Amino acid sequence: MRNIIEGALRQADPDMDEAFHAAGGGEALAVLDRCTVEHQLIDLILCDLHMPKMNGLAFLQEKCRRNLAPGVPVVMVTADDCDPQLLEALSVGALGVLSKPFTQNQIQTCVASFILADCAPSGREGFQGNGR
Amino acid sequence: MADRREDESDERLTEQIDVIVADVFHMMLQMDCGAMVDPPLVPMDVSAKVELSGTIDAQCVIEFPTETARKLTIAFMGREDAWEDVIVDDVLGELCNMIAGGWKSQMKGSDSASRLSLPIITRGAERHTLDAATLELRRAYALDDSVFRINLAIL
Repeated sequence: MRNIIEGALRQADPDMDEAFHAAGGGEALAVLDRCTVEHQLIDLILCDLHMPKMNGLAFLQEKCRRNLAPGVPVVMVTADDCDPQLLEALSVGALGVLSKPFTQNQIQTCVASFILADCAPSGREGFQGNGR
Repeated sequence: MADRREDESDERLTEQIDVIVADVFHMMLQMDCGAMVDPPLVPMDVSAKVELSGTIDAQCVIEFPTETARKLTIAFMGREDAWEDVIVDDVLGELCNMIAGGWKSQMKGSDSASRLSLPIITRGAERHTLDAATLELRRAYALDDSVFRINLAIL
């Protein structure tokens, strides 16, 4: 899924600098830690709700607790729009939801709406936390 | 009368699943697949299973011949070298998750208390089976020159 999302984003914006990938919540936190240390700016975090070991909600809670990537919009990706954890994620700070399945156009529109809303830092990196 | 209601329920489920499966394959892979009435007997070597638990307990299993699973994975990932088992597992799990999620959203009485499990993948003789069900649906679909199956059960 991470590769599909990155492929769709690169098709829309070939100049996108970098997309960081993480296979789960723990790995995603490590990526954010590294970005903080290296002063790398992130525009957007796309995070699957269902991930092994540390799921999307737990990642989001821990990210907030550790104040990692503050102000960077988080979009939850899920195949289950009714999952109670989705509502919780939105209450914890996620700003949007991308429902699977989606078309390339849908993901491009979703991401553009957050990037163009200018609610993120000025870097050109994207970040995807996804178990698959 | 009860039989008629059951028939209608089966028919509705069948229609829903056909639409969900077609949407998933079309949106994610730009591939068209259609339900088969009389599918050929092809060994299904790889399967993914997602369980729904909570208000409603249900199971969704998707089965593929190995070669079809690899072709699908290459299409899904957009890379010719994407055929290792670990990547195939991820893609099949993702497809099963999306179909189960679509099914859940159509279920009457499936409220937010019901949860989808992470997908579990099996190969060869270890293939997934469905538990005893109150409602069961087994469907085969044609995808290019191959076939895959979806088995659903409401427990």
